[in-house]
Amino acid sequence: MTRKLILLLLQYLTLIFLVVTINFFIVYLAPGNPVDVIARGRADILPTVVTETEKQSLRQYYGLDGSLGHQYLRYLSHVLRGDFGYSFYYHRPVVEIILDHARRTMPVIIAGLALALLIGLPLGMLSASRRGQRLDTILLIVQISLHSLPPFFIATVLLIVFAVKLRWFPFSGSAGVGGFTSPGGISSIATTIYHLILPATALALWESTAIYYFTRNSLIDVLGEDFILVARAKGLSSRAVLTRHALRAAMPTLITKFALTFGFMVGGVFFVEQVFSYPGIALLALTAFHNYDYLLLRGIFLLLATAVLVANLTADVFVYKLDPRTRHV
Amino acid sequence: MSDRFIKIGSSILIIVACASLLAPLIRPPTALSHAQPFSSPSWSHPLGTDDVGHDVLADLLYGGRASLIVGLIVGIFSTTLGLAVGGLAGYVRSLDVPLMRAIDMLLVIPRLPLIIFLSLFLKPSLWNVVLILSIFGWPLTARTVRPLIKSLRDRDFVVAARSIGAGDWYILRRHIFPQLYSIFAVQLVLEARQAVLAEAGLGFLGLEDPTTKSWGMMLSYAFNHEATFLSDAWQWTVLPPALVLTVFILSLSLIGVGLESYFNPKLKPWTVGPDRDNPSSRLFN
Repeated sequence: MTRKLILLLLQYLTLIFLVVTINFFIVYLAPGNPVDVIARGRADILPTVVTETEKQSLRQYYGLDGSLGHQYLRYLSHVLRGDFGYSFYYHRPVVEIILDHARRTMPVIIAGLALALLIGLPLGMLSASRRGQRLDTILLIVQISLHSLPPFFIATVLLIVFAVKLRWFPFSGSAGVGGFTSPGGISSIATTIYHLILPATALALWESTAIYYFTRNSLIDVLGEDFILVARAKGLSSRAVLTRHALRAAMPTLITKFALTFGFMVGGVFFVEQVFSYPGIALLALTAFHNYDYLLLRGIFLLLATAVLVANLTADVFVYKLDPRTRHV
Repeated sequence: MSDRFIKIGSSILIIVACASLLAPLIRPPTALSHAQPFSSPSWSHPLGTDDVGHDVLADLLYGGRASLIVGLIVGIFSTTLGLAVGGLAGYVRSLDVPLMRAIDMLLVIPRLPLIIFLSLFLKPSLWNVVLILSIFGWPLTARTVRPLIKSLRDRDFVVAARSIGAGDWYILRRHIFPQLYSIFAVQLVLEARQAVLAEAGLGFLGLEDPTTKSWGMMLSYAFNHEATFLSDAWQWTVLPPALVLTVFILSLSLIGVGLESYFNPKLKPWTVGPDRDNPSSRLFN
């Protein structure tokens, strides 16, 4: 029984290891060798020619001296100690900058995920219970169309309608950063929420289509089982059958799918933050890209990848606890 | 219903393809002198001009080429790769478990952020976009193809062929490949759709070669200019590329879903649910 859990853990550890390894080598994919790349970034700020001795010290400073294997091991040990290096653009440790921005992105993702569940789950249940009927068909076609929108489209529409035309919400920024000050001096929580509503809604609307589809299909799958027939035969209302029997049985599959949705959201956040100029982690990554701030980029990639993997692992462990069937494999 | 989906979808696709291929005839480069930036639609510039005075209609027509190229090449490449890996897992018993486990592990890592990150590090060019998208497109196709090959492998006619001494390659070529045309078509369209979506996304984030003309890049430039939303310019710099892109992706969705249910009536996404072994419509993955 615990063997399965250990296997699961090993699987995720392998993946994290893979991500760290990709992360190490990714700098070698960037055009030019890492020192030149770093030096290029520096040259943007200090418009001077970087001399060979400077390069040597840079190499040493960023851990790029020694053989590749040696560098790799050193990188691993640094990552294990939570040391992601130093951003030469912001002149601060990478971890500090990332945490500073993740603080603003987390609420968007959490609110977005909650809202997406709130929209997608009931609609999926409705569709599954009316399978093949008019309402189900209409919902499916609407959702397929919504899902065909480019990831930034819904955000753009929300921006144009609610920020540009109606001016109900700010069209860029977040609480306390550049952008707009709070209207009428409301407290900072209110300002935070005020800046959060449009980005989170955009993310939720885009992602709710996937949640809807997963919910609908898993439920339809379960609704064909014998125990549902028994529940119906007992005379339970179709509502009770759907929520108490079908949804419960579909939960393990759904939880796994929702964890995957979290991963999609991490992608979606890039578009949402870009559209609303929301200064979170994704916008930080794009800025770091323009500044050639590769150590910062590396740190962000590692953080996001780990977050996604941890979300999936949590879901898997949860499912394992929830569903006895998965334990005997 | 699936017929209508395919008809509508392919009509849109053909219109887009013709428009972008015939772009030099519709908006000859000679007619495009530089104009006032952000000028509103007029006779000489039917869709106005953007922040550097480029004709939006011309950019729109030429920009379709990027989407078409990326969709076509990535579609063909990652579908082929997916068929190969999925086929290998389905046909060779000893490879089945390790390959599928690897694919399941890969699928945990969300594609979009990974693609974004690779593009952040690689030199921005359309060919790198094609390369990245091709490398990460195949696992879902492989997963869709495997059960099909697996069931074909154990069918009576394959067993019969094998028992009279047919080799693996002969069986694959004569009995298995011909059955894969339908799945190839469906996967090709859906992979192309994913690729077009991702390419547009990368363009929108400004991660493509700045000299590439694409719908995503048009939006990227529009969004990065403060004046876009402070004036009425968004009406002709943001709306046209966003709408054209949406319609184009919708057309691929329609063709994909239409073909999917045309070849596999059990899978009609709007009437019945998924089978246990038949993954549901791939559209949402």
